[in-house]
Amino acid sequence: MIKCPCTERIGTYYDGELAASEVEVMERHIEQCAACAAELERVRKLSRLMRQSAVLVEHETMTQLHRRLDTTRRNQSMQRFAEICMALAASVLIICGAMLMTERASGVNTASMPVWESALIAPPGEEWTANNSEKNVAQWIMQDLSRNNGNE
Amino acid sequence: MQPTDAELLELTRRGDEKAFNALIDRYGPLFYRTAAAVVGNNADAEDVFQETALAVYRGAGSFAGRSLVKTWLIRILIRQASKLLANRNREKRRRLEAVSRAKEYYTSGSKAADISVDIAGALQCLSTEHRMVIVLRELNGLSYGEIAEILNMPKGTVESRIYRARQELKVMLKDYIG
Repeated sequence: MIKCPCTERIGTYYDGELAASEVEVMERHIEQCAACAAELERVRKLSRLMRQSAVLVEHETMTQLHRRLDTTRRNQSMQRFAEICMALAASVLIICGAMLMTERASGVNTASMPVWESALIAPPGEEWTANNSEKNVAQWIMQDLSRNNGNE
Repeated sequence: MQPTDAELLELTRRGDEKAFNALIDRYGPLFYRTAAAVVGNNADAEDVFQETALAVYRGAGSFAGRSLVKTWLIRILIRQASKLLANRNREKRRRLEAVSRAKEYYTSGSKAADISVDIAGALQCLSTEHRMVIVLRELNGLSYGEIAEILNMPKGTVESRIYRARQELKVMLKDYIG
């Protein structure tokens, strides 16, 4: 059988994708061209075969797929809830930390701090070397311990 | 009266679980069939189905209404199938295996009785590009324009790919087609 260049467009014709003006021309051509008529038959058979052989999705398969989908969505919801809780916990920690630092900076707590602790955390400078010698620190510790024991 | 696809999608966007399930019931079999034909096995098809359904649920609000809901859903499915094939780097290995199996099969002379197996095998011998267009055309009955929209390519490319896919399939399935 002689190969016809029109066979390349037979599939397009079969799919109903030719322009309206081309359809009539093609139909007349197919009537006269054995190669194109045979090609149309092959395309039609292939199409029918593919549709027939498509995987049959049974009810049971769909039920299983639904179940799996539900489980995944539930797990994702739980995961999102856990993430929100963790974010909240982290926020609370950050806020508490910030409050503590603010209090320290404003000196609210340093007044109730033992003198020796204040001296130890204070930045070293001239004052440290002059007044906060090891001997002085030892004395302050002793004074604080005495206060805590109710001697003062 | 049955709610339309657009109505179900809108309800899904508002968090209506029943509407989402109804949408999945309506398109689930089509999703699964398409996924199985594209990825070539049930386990991967289930993964693609799952990811598609989740993406639809999460992204229901992003549907702009510029296309049919069905086209939008299939585009998501094809994206998920492509992602699976690319991410797992299975495509090359799977194709090599399929081609080698097919060569052995088509030259051995012994044909399996199940025509579905033959067609599924032949489909897997096609490149992903050819397989996708032919599946969307034959299994989903989409027009060239819809396929072009889903795969984001010119209509002419869809036409030529469908032609080439058919040529390859006709050679592999010549015993059935003649």
